[in-house]
Amino acid sequence: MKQRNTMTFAAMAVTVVAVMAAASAGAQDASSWNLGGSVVAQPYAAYDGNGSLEAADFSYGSATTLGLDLRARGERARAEASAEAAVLTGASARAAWSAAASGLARSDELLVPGAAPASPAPATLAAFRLRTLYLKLDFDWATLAAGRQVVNYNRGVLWSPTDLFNELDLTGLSPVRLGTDALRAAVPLGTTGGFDLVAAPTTAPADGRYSARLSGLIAGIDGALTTARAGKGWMFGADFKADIEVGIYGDVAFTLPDSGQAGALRAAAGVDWSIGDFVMAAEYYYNGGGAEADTLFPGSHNLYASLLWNATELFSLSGTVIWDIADGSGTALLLGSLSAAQNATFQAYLKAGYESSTTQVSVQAGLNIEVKF
Amino acid sequence: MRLFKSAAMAVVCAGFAAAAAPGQSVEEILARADANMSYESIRYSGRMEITVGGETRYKTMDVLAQGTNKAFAEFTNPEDRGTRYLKLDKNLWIYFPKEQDTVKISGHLLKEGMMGSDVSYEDALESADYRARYSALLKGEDTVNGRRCFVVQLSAKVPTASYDRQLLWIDAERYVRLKSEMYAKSGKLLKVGTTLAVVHLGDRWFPARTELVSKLRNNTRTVFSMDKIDIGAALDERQFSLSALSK
Repeated sequence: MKQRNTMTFAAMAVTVVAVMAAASAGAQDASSWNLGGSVVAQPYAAYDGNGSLEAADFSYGSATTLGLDLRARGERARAEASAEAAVLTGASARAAWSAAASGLARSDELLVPGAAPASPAPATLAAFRLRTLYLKLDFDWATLAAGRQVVNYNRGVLWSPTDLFNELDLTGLSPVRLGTDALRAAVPLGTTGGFDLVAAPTTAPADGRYSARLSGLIAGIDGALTTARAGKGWMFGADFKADIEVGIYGDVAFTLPDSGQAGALRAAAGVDWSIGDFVMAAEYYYNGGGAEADTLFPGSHNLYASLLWNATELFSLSGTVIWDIADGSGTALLLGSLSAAQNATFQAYLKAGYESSTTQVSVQAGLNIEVKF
Repeated sequence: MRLFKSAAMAVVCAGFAAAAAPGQSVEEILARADANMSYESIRYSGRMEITVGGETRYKTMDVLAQGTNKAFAEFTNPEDRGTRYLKLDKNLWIYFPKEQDTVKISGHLLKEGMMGSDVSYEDALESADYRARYSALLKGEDTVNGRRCFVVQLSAKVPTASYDRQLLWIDAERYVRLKSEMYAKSGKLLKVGTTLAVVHLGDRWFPARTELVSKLRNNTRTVFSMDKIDIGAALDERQFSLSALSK
């Protein structure tokens, strides 16, 4: 833990230096910097059980998060640092503690109390995350970026098989992408095209992820071809988005392991459209690789559907369903979102889930109050 | 229903005085209005005030645009800071800074309110340039806020036009739009725009503050203000590219 803290503070120091450097690099030009952020409070109550109503089936928790974003921009350089600190209570604290003990949590997410995760979870704990920290240099022929950054090949609303850097935080109401430690070179090709190279090595470079992506707009179709070396195999992918009154998009990836085993195909296709104040989206996802290819959605056939109603300029209501067709498991979310004041959003939600293998039912009701500054 | 709407439109038009400006054709009127309100390039800081009932929210942005086909906007208010729009012809991309995600917006959403306002993406990101996209008919004269106006009816002549039909009240002295009504193909009134402030920039008059009221919603209005307007600004062509969107 102490080592993690040391690494974090070192990273913060590098950020400050990088940001100052970027700001001063553009000092003669139109340089600028800004500090912004948000405070988010997320209290909730939950039920997890299979029909019984015992006290242990009910839980309560909350997360209060302070997020800070520091951005500096010069004529040729840009730096960004984004960090989050959270106080977790009740079920939120226990969930974070369990994640740390399981080894699934990222090493940069710190549980401040310093105790070994194997010990019982405290009622309240603090967590810290350095989400992004990178320096970007802009040349006429390319943009180079180094550091922790979000690399986004996302095409679908929920599923994008070629999006191999999709490290997600799924604890909130919508997935939040986490940064990847990477080097990136983006070469523009005309107005709407580009060639993108990303290297995200690990301590054992052979286990890292390395990708090349060619993208462009042809006849109104936004498309891309991707090839990547990811761990012990290769990935070849293609994705597109087109507009024929409704928006349609697709994303397909084929993974070929070095072991000589059969490759795995994953594909997603979706559509979005709107009628008046209603915006709809539907998506299908085929996962031919099972849990090994996608731990979050291991089922072969999955469906996603959403309906958003913009009732007024300040209030919207949405419903979302994610369903594993073969397994019969899924989740549904009903969300009301109100612009409560300038820069302040108030959301209330009801989330329900069903796991067919355990016949476990989960219901969660909560609030999400966010103030940006 | 369609007959009723057409009749209603006719009644609206008949309300104006039938007299046209002596010796001035509708083409000349539109040419002078276009000369004021269209541009080869522009840079400005924009502010949207969205009012619903008694509640008002504002959003601020920096906008660059070239002609009718290219526009780039970056939001600067805390809630949307760093969110960027790139419009190339009828293609629109939005960049979300937190996710570093560039999303191509489907065409059906171009007519939706931008950031929850009554201003559509097309309203906000397009130059007027009426003659290029509409055929015009002079309906007569009227008065708006005490100023004499020509009333011009525009009918879309290209599919890229934002509205099927528009009625414009053009200031007879300054040749700037003081009021507008936008209609759907069905004849339904969609929006009413009112110019709240006109500024003199070099040798032209320009509407710098406009109120837009959606007739499809109750009790809402959006006031769009332009500040630090630089018409004819020297813009870097590379700014209107996908690579610039994520920089």
